[in-house]
Amino acid sequence: MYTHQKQVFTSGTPIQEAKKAIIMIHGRGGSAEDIASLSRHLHLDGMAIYAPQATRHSWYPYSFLAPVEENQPALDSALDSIDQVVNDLVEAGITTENIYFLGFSQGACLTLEYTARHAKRYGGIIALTGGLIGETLATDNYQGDFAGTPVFISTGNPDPHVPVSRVEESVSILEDLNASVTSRIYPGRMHTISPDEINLVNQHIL
Amino acid sequence: METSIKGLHHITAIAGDAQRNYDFYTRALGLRLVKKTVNFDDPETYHFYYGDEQGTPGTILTFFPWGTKVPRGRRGAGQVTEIAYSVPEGSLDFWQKRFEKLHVTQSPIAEKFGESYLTVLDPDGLKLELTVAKTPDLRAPWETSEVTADYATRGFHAITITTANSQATAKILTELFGYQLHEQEQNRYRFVTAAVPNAAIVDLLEIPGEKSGYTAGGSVHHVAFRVSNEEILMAFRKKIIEAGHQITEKIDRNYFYSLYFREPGGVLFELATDNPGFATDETVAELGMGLKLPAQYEPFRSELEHVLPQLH
Repeated sequence: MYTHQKQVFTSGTPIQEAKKAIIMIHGRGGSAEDIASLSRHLHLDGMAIYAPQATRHSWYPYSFLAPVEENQPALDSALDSIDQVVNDLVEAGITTENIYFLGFSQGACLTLEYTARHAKRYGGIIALTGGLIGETLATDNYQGDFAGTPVFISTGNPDPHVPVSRVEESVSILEDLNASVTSRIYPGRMHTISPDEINLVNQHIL
Repeated sequence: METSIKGLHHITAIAGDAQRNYDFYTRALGLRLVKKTVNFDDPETYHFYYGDEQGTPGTILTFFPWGTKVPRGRRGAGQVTEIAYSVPEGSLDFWQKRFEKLHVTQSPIAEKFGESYLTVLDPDGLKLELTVAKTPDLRAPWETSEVTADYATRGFHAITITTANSQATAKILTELFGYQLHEQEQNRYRFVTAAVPNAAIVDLLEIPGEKSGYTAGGSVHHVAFRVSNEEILMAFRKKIIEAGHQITEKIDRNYFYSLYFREPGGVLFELATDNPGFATDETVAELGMGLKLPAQYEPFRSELEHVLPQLH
């Protein structure tokens, strides 16, 4: 039983000078600084980087496929943490269509869950090995209109945590919300980020 | 400076349920769990190391237990498809009866290259062989109350790599690793290194047109070959790059140092050092008892203990 204390690691272009920003969300056992270091490989010129840090280094205690109530209150608190970062960026003058999201693994799941619950035109959404959260997906939670927001979503086949079926299900829900989705399933890839994913993300989303 | 690989170091495979994997290897097969840690690239997954008392290179089989939902893999080209353990002369009868009693899937005793062997499948379908080696195996066994020295495995004997075309892989073994082609039976080519007395064999099984395997539950993920130390590791790295292959930087795996490269046939090869071994964060007597985490994950211990399945 835990919730998150606000902690955000910032890097990249200072927010006062930036026109765009990316929220980078780490996975279980990762850290804000780790995920922010991915920026070296991504086309993030001129972007402010905001990486929130999960308390206990995990956004929620169990698998993203567990019944949602088992992951509470941490999960709601995690979604709220992302919402706070979005609000901070908007207050700093970044419009939502210039806000990008990137997450890996547990962070990718949280990225998709947050944006699908607050669908609107964002800059782009990058979910590296992740899917929407829940034992079964509560589609009533997913509201709004992505208005063509480019989304990248991937997993390995098989992946120890993120089954292909959940990625496929997530893609169809995101498309129903008018996202423009690029998805990739990588046979034999371990639970990691591959160079091909980095290339596709740079090409299609950033 | 050693120019030959010292045989096998370890083999890593993917399993389903952690408890079921632990029960099979420690109880049915009688190996020692020498380290319980996490996959350093995926800390939500355990990494189990099974071997002899000290986890001597050439005895270590390791697993990533991905949980009950993992699909079952399919054996095929570009994979290590068989793992042979060395067992004493006269022990196959014991093993047959034991596997029968424990309801382990097994095939009748067969022979290749004049050596008798018994094939069994682990609970995830990984193919193991227990082989009575032609050459003496003087390695000291790990004993349990049910699997005593007269029967216990001595460590690896051989691996089989299935390939649609063995030439490029053979070239790596002979030109880079110092193995030699010793024998051939139909489409099975036996390569042996003279650098070590045991765990010295790689068989290439050539099946033209064979489809690639699907690596999932019950599949080998990679095979690691053994070098004495980091200096020799880096000398091999240079040699492999000069031969035109891509290879990783040196990676610290806490219990050995590693390099990884995919051989042309599709199998992920690793080179791993003897140093420092498993008795770095636990004494030899305590090996496998605690959940050992690399420094970067120690701050998340309570979270990981929460998410990793409990073993009993």
